[in-house]
This record gives sequence, structure tokens and C-alpha cells, in this order.
Amino acid sequence: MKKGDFLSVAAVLFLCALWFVLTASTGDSLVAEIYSGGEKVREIPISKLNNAETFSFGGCEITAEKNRIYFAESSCKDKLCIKTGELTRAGDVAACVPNRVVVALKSESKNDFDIVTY
Amino acid sequence: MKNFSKAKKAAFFGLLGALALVLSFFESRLMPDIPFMPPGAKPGLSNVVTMLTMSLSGLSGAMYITLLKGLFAFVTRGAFAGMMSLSGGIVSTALCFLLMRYGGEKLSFIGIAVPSAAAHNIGQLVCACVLSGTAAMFNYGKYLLIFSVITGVITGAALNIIMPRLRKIRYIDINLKP
Repeated sequence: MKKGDFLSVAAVLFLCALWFVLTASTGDSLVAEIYSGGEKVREIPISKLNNAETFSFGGCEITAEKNRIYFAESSCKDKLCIKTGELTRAGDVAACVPNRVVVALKSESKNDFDIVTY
Repeated sequence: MKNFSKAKKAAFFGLLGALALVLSFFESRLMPDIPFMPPGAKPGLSNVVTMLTMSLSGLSGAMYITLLKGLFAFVTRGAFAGMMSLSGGIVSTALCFLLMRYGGEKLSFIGIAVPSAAAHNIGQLVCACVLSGTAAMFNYGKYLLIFSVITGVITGAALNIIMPRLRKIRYIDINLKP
């Protein structure tokens, strides 16, 4: 180990921390976006879901429940999309790159203006 | 490696290439997923060989290993795996080269491996975004960065142990900086 190592590792950790801070969720209602073949094909407000729903896109089956969404089935080889598990927080992403299907969670504030000051 | 004959060089690169392929095959096929880590994340053991080659013979040798790994992934696991391997490999090998050349005296292999691992992951993520046609998954990068610190420390520490011993061997009588 040399002195420069700490700087080098700290730089990567700083970048990582910055990324977490910048993408920290603020809103209180979760919206799931499903992309297939590069297009956004569905937007599901999963906070408001009461019954589980299943969607089929590009060889993948995605199940949405209240406040959670996950890949249930996929035709791909490595099944990383299924292994990613449930997405429950804003910023969570699961992807099946071979099938070009991506699910991302974002938060949506009820009110567009959280704070207004003059 | 300047004092190597052509045949010796071919044999030596053959050995290094084989070592890299065995390690990446082990990772992609035989190793179980690591708990608490992003799915699909691998420790990148074969990058030990890439960095070792970089420090023995410079950028061209390391790129040869990287391209070989990409070709191997392409042949055994398909075009998608090949592109993922190359995108991460080329970006990280390039950064590794810059770090060794301009920070070589101030950095041990840990300080080189961690940013290189981060570059590998981000390069791969960008490739995955391009292949899937959406940038929505780019956010996954923050988890990959944490992971790259862990894997970089492991591969870097391995090299910190291996390299001084390797340099003592007469056969590899070389001390070339890239």
C-alpha cells in the first residue's frame, strides 16, 4: 500500500456517495416505468395498486404488486433480471439486457411544489 | 520483455492468455452469485492477469489479453456477452494504463485496481444502456461503484503480493514500466 492508494480509493467512494445523494428519493408515491426495445411502454403507479398485475414484454413477464415490482419470468439465458429481485425504492432498477426490457422505479411527489418561499 | 525472443514471447503470452481465460470462465460459469451484491457482479479475477501483463509488457500486451477475453466470451457465451466483456475491458485497461504511467510511483496495485474496476463497471453499464436502448438502468451504477471498491481491493492486493515475487524469478527478468 502507498499513500496515493487512499486518494484513489477515496475518489471512487466520493463519486459513489455523490451518486447516492443526488439520486436520493424525495417523493412519496412510487411509479414503475417499463421500457422495452428502448421505448417506454408502460407507467404503473404501484403505490396505488391493490391487486397484483402481470405484464408481458419482449419475452419477459413482470409482476407488479402494491409498492413492489419484479421480473417473474424471462426467456433470457442468465436470468439476472429475475435474480435482481423486487424493486421497492425509487431509483431501483432491474434489467434484462438480452431481451431489452428495463424496469425502473421513480418517486413522484403528490405536490409538484414541495416548498415555495418568497 | 524486450530481451525475449519471438518464440519466448509467444509462449509467454500464450500462458498469460490461458490464465485469463480460465479465470474468466471460472467466474462466468462456476462461481455462485455473491450474497448482498448486485446480481451478475463478478470479482474480476481475470483482471489480475490483465494488470500483470500491463506491468510486464505495457499497453499492447494488456489489450491483447482484453481482446482475447472478449473473443472468448463472444465464442462461448454469445455476442451480448462479448460486447459486455469488451466494453468494460477496453475502458478499464485504458484507465489502468494511464494510472500506471502517470501515478505508478504513488500508487500500489490497489490504487490502480479500484478505479480500473470502477471504469470496467461503468463502461459495461453504458454498453448495457446502449444495448437495451434506454438509460433508465444507469442508476444501477451507484451499487456497482461500491462493488468495484471491494473487488479492486481484492485484485489489487493479490497483485501487490504476486508482483514482487514474480520479478524475482530470473526467467521473467524484466522490469519494464508501460
